[in-house]
Amino acid sequence: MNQMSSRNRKLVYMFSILALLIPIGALGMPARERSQPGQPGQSGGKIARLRHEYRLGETTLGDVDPASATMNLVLLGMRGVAGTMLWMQADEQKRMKNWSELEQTTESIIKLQPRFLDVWQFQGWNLAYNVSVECDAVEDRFFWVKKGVKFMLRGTNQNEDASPLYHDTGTMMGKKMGRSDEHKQFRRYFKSDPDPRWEGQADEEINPNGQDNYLVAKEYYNIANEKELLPWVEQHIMERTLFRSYPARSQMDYATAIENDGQFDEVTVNAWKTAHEDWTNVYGREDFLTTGGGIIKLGATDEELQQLADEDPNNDVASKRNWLDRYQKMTNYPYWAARSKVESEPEMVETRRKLYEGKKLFFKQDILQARELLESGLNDLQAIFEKHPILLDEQEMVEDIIKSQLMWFYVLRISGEPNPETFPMMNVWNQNPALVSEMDQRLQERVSDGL
Amino acid sequence: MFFDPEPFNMGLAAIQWLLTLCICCGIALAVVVVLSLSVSGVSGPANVWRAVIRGVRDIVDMSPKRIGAVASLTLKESLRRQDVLVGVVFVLLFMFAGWFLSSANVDTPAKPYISFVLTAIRWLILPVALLLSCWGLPADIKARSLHTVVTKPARRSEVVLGRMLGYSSLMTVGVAIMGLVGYVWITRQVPESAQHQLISRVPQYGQLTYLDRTGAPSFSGINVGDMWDYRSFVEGNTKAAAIFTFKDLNTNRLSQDDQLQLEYRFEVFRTHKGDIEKAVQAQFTLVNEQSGLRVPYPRVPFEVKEFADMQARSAEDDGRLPIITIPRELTYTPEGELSSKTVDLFEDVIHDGTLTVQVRCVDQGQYLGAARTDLFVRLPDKTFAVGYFKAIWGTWMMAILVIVLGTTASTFVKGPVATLLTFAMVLTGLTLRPFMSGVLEQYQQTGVVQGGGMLESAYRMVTQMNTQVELPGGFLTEAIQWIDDRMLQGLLLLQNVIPDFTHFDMTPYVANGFDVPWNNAMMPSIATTLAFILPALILGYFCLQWRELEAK
Repeated sequence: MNQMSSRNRKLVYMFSILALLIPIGALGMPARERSQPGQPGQSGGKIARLRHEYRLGETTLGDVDPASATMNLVLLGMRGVAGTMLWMQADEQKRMKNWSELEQTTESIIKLQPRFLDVWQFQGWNLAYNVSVECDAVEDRFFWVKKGVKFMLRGTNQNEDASPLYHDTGTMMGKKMGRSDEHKQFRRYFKSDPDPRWEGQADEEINPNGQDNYLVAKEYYNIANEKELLPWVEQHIMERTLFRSYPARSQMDYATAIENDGQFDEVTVNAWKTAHEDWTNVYGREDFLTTGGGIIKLGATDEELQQLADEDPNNDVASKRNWLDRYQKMTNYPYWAARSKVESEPEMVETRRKLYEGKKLFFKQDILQARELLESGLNDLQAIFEKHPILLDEQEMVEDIIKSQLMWFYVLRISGEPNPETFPMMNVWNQNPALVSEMDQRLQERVSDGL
Repeated sequence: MFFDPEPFNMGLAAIQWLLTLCICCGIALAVVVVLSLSVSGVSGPANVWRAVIRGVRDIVDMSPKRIGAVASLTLKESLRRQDVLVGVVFVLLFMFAGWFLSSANVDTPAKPYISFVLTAIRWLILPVALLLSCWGLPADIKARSLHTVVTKPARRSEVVLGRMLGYSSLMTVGVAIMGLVGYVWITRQVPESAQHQLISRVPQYGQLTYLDRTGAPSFSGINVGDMWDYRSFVEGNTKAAAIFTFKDLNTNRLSQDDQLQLEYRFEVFRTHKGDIEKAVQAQFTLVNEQSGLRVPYPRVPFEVKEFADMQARSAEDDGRLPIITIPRELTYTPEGELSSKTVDLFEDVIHDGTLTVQVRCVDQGQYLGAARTDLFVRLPDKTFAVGYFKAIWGTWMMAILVIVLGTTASTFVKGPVATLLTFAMVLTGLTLRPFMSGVLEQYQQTGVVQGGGMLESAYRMVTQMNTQVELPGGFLTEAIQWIDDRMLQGLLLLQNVIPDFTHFDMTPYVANGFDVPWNNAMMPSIATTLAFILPALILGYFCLQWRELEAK
């Protein structure tokens, strides 16, 4: 039997509690402030620091939504069941075109699974691509594309290091807005939203600075690339060399898009210059680990290749060159390097202007002016392509040339002149008979429909 | 939301109820007579007869005073047991609901707020009603307090009915308080931009028929390949049309406004891109079938505002609301004539309360999809409170039915079993009912069910045989099909004794800004609850009569 008095026992208990509080505090004290991802935890107990170091805490992943945390707690382990039911419900609502409820169900799903990247990617895509195309009005389609983008942005807030989410956000802003059937309207709305709430300005939730969609996309691709470098981040969207090319490609898309919009000035020249810089001096300088040839740089010169081989005991220069060639072909590196260089030259921009104006006048049935501009543009192109034959490696360029040639021939026929035996860019014409035939048919249809 | 505009047939329901009641009483009587013969010999049927007579007397001669006394005691007992603590959960839910519903997204419509409140009330009331009603009588029997009650001049029918009434009054107060709090919460929480969605639209639906591209009457329009075949499509710039016939329009009431509002939610299907910035166009033709008068309205085709009622983008722009307002005086140019004419909508176009609206798609190569509920005459709106409290009424009806079923179950089984039994009925009536109805409808129409009954389905699942493949011939198949057939016939009978709890959920109407219709929603819910009170009372009375009250 304990001989201590009740009071003494209580004192012993009290001191024991205090003694135990010290190691508990040292070990388990929570972090006082949220440290930045990638940096060691600066405050809190040992466990808090370890949690941060090994990225086990919720806060290290991104914003913590109290509603989400509460819901998961209240479900008492039934989160999986609830999540499955909600996914089924969302699918049914999509089938029955019940968009507003689908959006709410999606909200519930992300409350349950805020760290599951596939949820953000799948449902964001669903809203931006599948729901938007169901609407007839272009404004409605844009509204749902924005919903998808905003959904992805919330995903990036809650998963700060999720490189794939940033990449997909960039794709929605870039390719979805810029390459859909409605790209003209989407690109316009991106800078001047049709929602009266924004009073003719851009929706500041997705485009606070009122920039071009491709430039905003480039920003997100850049963030995706930054995050991809973090040691604990993986991306499984595509091969790494392709993945990291997206910021530069987005810059090129921007330059192409403003040309298609009819802008041929200093801005266009600078856009292509930046694209060339991004492609060759940023992307081309990056280290890529190949599957068999060690590390390479896509824009490596012979000297750099030799230096890389010297640093790599397993691969000689020949091996490095072999692997560099493979990866350059995969990314089409030399083509885009040459293309961005040529396109940034004022002569090329002027040539583009002539062809653009020529086509526009053709559709306005101003035959004489169109003929002059198309002929001049094609002659200029001939001179440029003789110096840079690599530019014909891309189908898009070939189609552009054939389209100009077809219009020029059409104008000649109207003027009562026969097709000349030789003409500018004749080799492109002769090498693609099937494409010529197909494009000719399309042009004839368009002309017979009244242009 | 996609309503079933077919009104509830009260007469048919009453006949079906009477038939089911008679069949159930007949079966119960036959079973009891057979049992009495085996227990008491030839005097058994006489004993049964006396019990039935006594039962009828006990039910007919019930004293309202004694019922009131039992109900009052039940109420006091429930309050003493602090059953009202569920209110704390309710308050907590509403305190934190804003976390889950509001977001940075300013486009959030009123719908999730309304759905949340009505769903929360329903799922809080349901378990309380279930537990209260299923555990009351067994607890009394266990505590022997019921033994004291039945020695008083109180009939057992009065005990059963008194219990039901007591719990019902408690639930009534609970539903009323929750309903009021919920209403205030909705009106305060719904964002300013969505406040206009708090209305109760009153639609009047018509009948829908179609014309094909040659102008001949057709059973349906064209299927454009949509998996969901809710809508049928009419081809643009042909004679194809969707014809809506609205009957029994109250022209006296409508003509007071000097206009008629038609609201639509058509769907568009494009076979070619066309002018991407221009919406597909449609045109109405108002037809008087008697006089042959045809008035195109609007005079120029209108752009179809697809899904405009489903997204907040349209919230701030009234021009996007999918409403066509037809004025009383209509000016039009008849076909083949040069001069215009003016007609009166209510005098010349609407004949005998009937208005026919032909809907055509104007653009060639494009299609317009329509279902019966896609065009309706919008009668004057009611306030949101009207629709909301009707939905609360539905929850109240459900709570009363659960109490009736629970109290009845507790007269012949113990508390846990009664709870399980009642919960199973609620669950079946709530979730499996549509599936069961679909299967039985198919069985009644064709005599077979795709994929077979329970045994055949099990066989197909185990052998991984799809529903299109014939079962192999032989004894086993015949046996399976024979048993399945009997089970489906049994289910046909049984479906009438499983209450259809889907009638009580009126949330979709209110959440989508519609009034709860009397014919389609209110009447079925009231009829369902009333239909179970008498049979449950009879069953509860006889079960309690024959129950050994000394048993614990």
